[in-house]
Order: sequence, then C-alpha cells, then structure tokens
Amino acid sequence: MTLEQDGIPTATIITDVFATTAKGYMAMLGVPDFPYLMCAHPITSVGAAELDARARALAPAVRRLLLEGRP
Amino acid sequence: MTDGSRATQIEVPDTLDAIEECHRRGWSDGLPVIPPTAARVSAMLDHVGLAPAHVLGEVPVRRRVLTGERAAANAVMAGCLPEHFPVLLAALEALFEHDANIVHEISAATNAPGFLVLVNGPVRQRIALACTDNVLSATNRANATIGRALRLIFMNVFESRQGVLDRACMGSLSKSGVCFGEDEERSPWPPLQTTRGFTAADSTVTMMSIQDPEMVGNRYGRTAESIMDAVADSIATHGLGVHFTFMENAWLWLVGHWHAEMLARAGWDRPRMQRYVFERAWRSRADLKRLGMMRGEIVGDDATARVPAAASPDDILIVKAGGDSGIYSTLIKIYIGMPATTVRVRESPTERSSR
Amino acid sequence: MTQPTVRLVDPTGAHPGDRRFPLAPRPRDLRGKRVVLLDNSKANAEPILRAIAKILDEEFGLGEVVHLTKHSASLPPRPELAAEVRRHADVVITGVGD
Repeated sequence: MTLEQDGIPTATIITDVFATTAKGYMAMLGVPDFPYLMCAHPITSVGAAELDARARALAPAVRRLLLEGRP
Repeated sequence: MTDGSRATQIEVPDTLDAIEECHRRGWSDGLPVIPPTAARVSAMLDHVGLAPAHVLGEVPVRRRVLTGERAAANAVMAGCLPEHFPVLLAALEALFEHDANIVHEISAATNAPGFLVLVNGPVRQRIALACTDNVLSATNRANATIGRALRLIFMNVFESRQGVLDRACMGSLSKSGVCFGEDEERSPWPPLQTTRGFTAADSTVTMMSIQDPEMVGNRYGRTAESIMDAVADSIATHGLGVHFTFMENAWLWLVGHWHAEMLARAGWDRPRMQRYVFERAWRSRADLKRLGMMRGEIVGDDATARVPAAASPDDILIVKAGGDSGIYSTLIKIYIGMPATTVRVRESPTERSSR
Repeated sequence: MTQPTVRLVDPTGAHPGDRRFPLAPRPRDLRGKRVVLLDNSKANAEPILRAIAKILDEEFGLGEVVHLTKHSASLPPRPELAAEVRRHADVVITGVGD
C-alpha cells in the first residue's frame, strides 16, 4: 500500500486466511476497497508443482491489477 | 474532567448493566470489566498528573494514538487502582521507547507472543505486587490487572482484535499480560535493574515479549552445575520451531528459591551463571533441520555444528522470583519484537513532569 | 421512571475515517517494464513470485526483474528498502502468506 501511495503500481498477493486481516487493516487505515489478490493458504509447505499451478492461476490477475488497478 | 475528554454518555439501569454495555461495545477481553466512568478515569489520571489529551505514543503502522485518557480508561476496565497506573505507564513507555510498531508485528503474526512486565524496586511493596508465592499466577490485584490493562490497550486502542488484526493461531496464556516483581529481598544477587543502568533504590519496569513460560525441575540434582545444566537443556528444547532464528532469542531464567540457595552457597554470581548456561545452551544444526526449524537437507558437518540459543551470555537474564514451597525454576523465552527494555517508574506527578 | 445516567469514557482508538488515496497511474502494458518482486520473508514467497514473473515474461516480455525481501512480513518496507524498490521498479509484485 505504501508503494502504491508512492506512485508505483503494485499487485499485492495474500493468502486467503488473511483476507479478514487485510480488510481490517485497510479499513483501519481508511482505504477499505484497496485492491489485492488472494491465493490459497498455506503456501509455506507447498511443493514445486503446486506452486507453479498457483502461479499460473494468479498471473492473469496480477497483470490485470498492474494494468487496470482491479483484481 | 478537563478538556480533551471523549466521554460517551450512556443510560443504564445500574452499574452491572454498564458492564454488559462494555461487553456489547466490544471493549472486553472476555471477562467482566469495570465500567470506565468519567470519575474513575479522572482519578486514575489525577494520581499521576496526566492530562487526558496527552499523547503517550502511537503505533504508526496502524495510525492509532494512545492518549492519557485512553490508557486510563483501559486501566480502569482492567481493574487497576490509581497506584498501579505508574507501572502501566512505565511499561508503555518502554514499548514506545523501543518501537511501538512491534505491537502490529506481534499481533499480526500467527505466533502468539505475550508480554511480561517485570518490576523492580520499592514500588513493588507500595502496590503489594507478588514476587514470591505463585508468582506467575498471583491473585494480588496488581499482578492480575496491570498486564490485563496492557492487553485491553492493544485490543481497544491499537486494534489487535482476534481474527482481524490479531492472527494468533494457537494463542497463549501470556497474551493476557504477565506482571510480577523480582524477589529482591531474598536474592543472593544484585537486583536486575542494577545490571541495566539503574540503582537498587530505583523502581523500574522491564518489559519484553515472551513465549509461555516453562518450569524447570532438577529434583534429584545435587550440584549447582546440575541446575544450570537443566536450564541450558531446557533452553535448547524450549519452543523449537516457534520462531525462525534460534539466535535471535533472549532468555529469562526465574531462579526459584532453593535453586538460588544452592547456587549462592556454591559461590555462583550472575555473570558466571550466564556464561555457564550460554556455553551449554545450543542445538546441532542437524537437529534443527531434522525438526523443521531450519531449511535444507542435513549435510556435511551439520551433526557437529552448534547453533547457540542466544547471541551472548548477556542475553540470558537471571532474576530471583517465586515461592519456597517447592524446588523449581522457570524459564521464559524472550522473542519476536520486544527485547527486554527497562525504564524507570515515575510514581508522582513531580517525577513525571521532571522528564 | 428516569434511568440513572452513567458517563463512560471511550477506551478505543481514533477512527480516521475514509482516507482514500488514488491508485498509482497504470502503465499501458507490461512490455519492457522493470519489475520488483518484493517478498514478505515467508517461505515460498520468493518462488511463487518468481514463477509469476516468469509466466508474465514469457507472454509479455518484461524488462529487468529484481527480487528484494522485506525485513518483516507484516510491516511496510523500511525507508532504505522502499528507496531501493523505487530505484528498480516500474511495477511491483508483492506477497505472500505464511
């Protein structure tokens, strides 16, 4: 969010378990509709093939967020 | 009440209903709170000569400011008396002196560090703070309420709310805030604050973020070395895998009465004890990898490579506390965000204004 | 019958209300754009960010891709790191999880 405020288009990815946290944090800072992307949780223990699959699923939304400002 | 008050007026049939109103508004930690009436909050502030609008500090990353009034209101809710307020304010001062953003870091973590407010000096007697029997779970009002006030402040003022910005997965017992005093009167060693730039006559608070404590026995040990070996062994296994880097931790050894007695009889002073324990508190790199505490396969000299549990002997704090009914010590890991930070307790308005 | 009145002091923090800021201006496309992958220091954050960058690069031809790590998962980047990001980035992809 701070980088976005600095003028750099940013695609923020969080795992879904932290969705309420992200929404709570953004509401607390006064920007409740700040756009971000979600992927499945957890990510720490995931193997290479699954990581790649998630990256493939996320890539189009990352592009959209960087070029259009929406997830 | 002077200017700057944000008193809300509510109409309730009686005081017990005001307690329910506090629950309804989400101001409680799950237990009944004392309603923060304007009169009670004023009394808390007047005891230390603090203005309601005075800014004690802020958590910048959460855009939240702690005023005197908000601190006092949460202290009232926790059940603190005005005489407890200076100790709470000192704990908050330690937090802001270090880096208040750790409030965010600590609660947003999926880990569950709690807080310890360790008190030294004459203020302990003035507020009847337990330092001996049942020290970690004492029912003395000061012990029970000062840590609770901290938690209420984190929740109510800094928004560390469960499931939202408090993301503790398993939670911990010390998140409710632990407060007790060193048993200076029966300690064979100088009180802790004298090792941290203060005198024995100074009342101080040492604030730190901790993992839930662990008792250390050594029931059949016969030597001082045996006690210290047991403590070092506990350090090497305590809370493994809960924090990423073993060496970033510090440790607090609450030396129980009879352990202290044996150590003193054998002539051990604090610096020697710190060094002895530090040299023995390590785990092999192979073990840490095997137990999922470090990344990577076990290779080369991992089986013999020692990873120390602290950066230096000074990171093993030693304090005498606890009762004499049994033969135990307690080990506490200091981790994630708030290293032990000591500040002076300012009990009177004059002391406060002379800063 | 009139109710007794109790005056309670609000123990909660300030509510700053809506303080929206506009999103940064968006580039027209990703071709040749310099990308910073800012990982949040959690395990697997770097691999997944790199995988996403590789996929986007294959399809759209990104410019230089630089990987940086935050000191803390939950706190914003420190000023020195933020400056480093600004030096290298036309766009940033950041995350992920625990």
